[in-house]
Amino acid sequence: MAEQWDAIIVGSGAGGGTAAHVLTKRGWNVLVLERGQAKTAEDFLPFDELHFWGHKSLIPHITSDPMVYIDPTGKRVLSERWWEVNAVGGSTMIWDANFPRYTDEDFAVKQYMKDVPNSDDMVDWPWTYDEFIPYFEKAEWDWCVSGDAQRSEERMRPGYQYPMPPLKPHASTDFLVSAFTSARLKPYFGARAINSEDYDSRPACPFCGFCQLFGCAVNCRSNSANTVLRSAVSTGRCEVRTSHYVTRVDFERGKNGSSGKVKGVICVTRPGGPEIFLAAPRVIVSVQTIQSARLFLLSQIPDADKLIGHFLTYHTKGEAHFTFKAKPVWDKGPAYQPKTAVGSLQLRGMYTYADKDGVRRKGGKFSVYDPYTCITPLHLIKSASLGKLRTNLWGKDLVEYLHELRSQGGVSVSFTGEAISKYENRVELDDQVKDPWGVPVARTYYRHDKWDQDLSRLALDTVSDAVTNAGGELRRYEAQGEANPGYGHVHGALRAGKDPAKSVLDENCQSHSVKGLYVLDAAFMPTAGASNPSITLIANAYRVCETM
Amino acid sequence: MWTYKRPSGPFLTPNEKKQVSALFEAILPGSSTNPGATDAGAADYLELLLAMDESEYYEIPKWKLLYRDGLDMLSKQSFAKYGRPVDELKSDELTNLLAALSDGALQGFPNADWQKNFFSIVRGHCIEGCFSDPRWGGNHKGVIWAWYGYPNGPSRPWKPKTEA
Repeated sequence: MAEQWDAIIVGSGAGGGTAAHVLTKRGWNVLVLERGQAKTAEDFLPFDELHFWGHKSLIPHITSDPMVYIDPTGKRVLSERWWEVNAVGGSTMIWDANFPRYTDEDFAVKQYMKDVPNSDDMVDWPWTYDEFIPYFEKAEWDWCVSGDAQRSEERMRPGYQYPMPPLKPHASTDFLVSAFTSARLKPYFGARAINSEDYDSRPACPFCGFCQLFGCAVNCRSNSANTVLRSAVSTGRCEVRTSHYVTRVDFERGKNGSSGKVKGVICVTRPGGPEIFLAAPRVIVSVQTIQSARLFLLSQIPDADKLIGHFLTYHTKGEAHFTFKAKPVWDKGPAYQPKTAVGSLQLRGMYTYADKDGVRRKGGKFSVYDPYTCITPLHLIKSASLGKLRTNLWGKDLVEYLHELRSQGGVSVSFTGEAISKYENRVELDDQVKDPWGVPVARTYYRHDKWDQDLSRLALDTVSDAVTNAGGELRRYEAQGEANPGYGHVHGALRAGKDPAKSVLDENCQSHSVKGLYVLDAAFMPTAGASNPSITLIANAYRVCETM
Repeated sequence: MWTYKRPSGPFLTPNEKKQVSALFEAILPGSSTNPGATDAGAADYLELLLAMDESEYYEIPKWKLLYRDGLDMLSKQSFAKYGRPVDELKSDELTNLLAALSDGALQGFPNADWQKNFFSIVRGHCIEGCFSDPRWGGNHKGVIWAWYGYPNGPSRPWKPKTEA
């Protein structure tokens, strides 16, 4: 039987699943190739932090399938890809399902970077937030988002609402909203792709506490497999093949060698197995920023301007924990506390901010948690800390920390901020280490600019002031350092843009040099932006696939 | 469902386990107001963990070597400083020994980084022995969880067993 597909989709995660859904709705036949296996909710039972998180059973093993990182001193380090899942659904199987949108300030960032040293490579995106709004809305409805769009600090179309109301607020919510409002940090309930009620034939979240970094055993948190891919497969026009590892994109070179047209993909189904060629007029790659760039390098996609892999970005991050001596522990029981991000509290007051000269600068946003209810115990207690200089606690100090956790209310904040794009931050193919299939692994070079590090400290200090004014005491403070061996908020490396001399992909995320080759994960992003990337990369996939 | 792999090959000797027990109690000491590593049976956890192999977790074979060498070197330092094995040290002596290990300041080890790494792994395993699911052999009867207030509050007061 002749197998004829309108597109081959490499990767079954956020971008790949969305592509399959949109294209099959348009009547296309698609083939989705996934390196890993299918997982069901039941695979994540029984609940167990040690097995799933401690023993890293959901992510590639650093001993056999690492990434190489060259740190700022030039030292070679093996990096564990804790944010990558090789399974149907990809990293959506372990994400926190945090869905804030990139907005005007992300699409047009240059205005905030005037006279910032080393910021010449920051560019405006070739689209506007307004152009993306309809696609955000489609994405939020298909991916089953809960929240209150009418009270969002992200600019929304008037009258728009998410399919489900917000998750149950945490016991700390009223107090924290009041404290953050007084400090003008703009608290609001952000969008989550988690059921706040029974919806889409899946149950409401019971707040089991096994959320970020765990698979969802309840099937209440959205992933590619239980939303868009499920819908694509049900049309009868989408086939998913597991154990199919695409090792290169096959294309016909043009006369001058600097351009081409896609023919299909080469894949293997087991280490040492024979190469299989699968043909299609379009190939859509979506295997996570660094891996997509790696696939372009393995495929030797023509790259006259030496851009493939360059302008890799990680978000600037920062984390701080606090305790409130005057507040009893939030979780008095017996009712379940919502263990998913304190009912999704977000802070947007520093998305842009006025610097000391009154100039408007780009910043970032915070997710707010209660460490005691939201972070599983091994994870929380291994990083036990009673202040900036009292870390990795043991003995009496550890007991003091535990007493505090179980008797006093706390709060923790996680910062996601803009980062300066640098040409030298990049992905290459390593010349020494190969993965279990014999394919060279990715090697990254990355340093955060001083601007990133200063922003992280400024953001953490601003929140720290607000929390201490409300009676909090600092317990943990981790600002962005220069090195970054890897992080889940990863974008760039296959920059999209109008000018073929300055970008790898065009405005429709098609390769400038190989026709029919598209990229739909976050590798297309011209700059880092300052929100969790997921819903924006998904919205982009809708945008590209509706007119492909 | 994933399946808990039953351990197959015992590794820690009874003497090694006694030393681990003492080290763990120093890392998470019990008192009249909180259960500690001994109450949790955290050393039972490590005994079972090291009887497993890389099919559960790829670092287990490396840890076996680490504990065999590390416990031996620590024991020699305990005798050198105090004339007694680790499990017979007084509480402040053991605290001092562990503090030196965590700083990389002891003699008789390959280097400072080796000590810091060993300490970090011992500390991590103590926490696992106390806070992981009882199926792994530690956190006996969920005693640490109950006091901590996991998986749901309220945290319960600690009632130490009275001496017989």
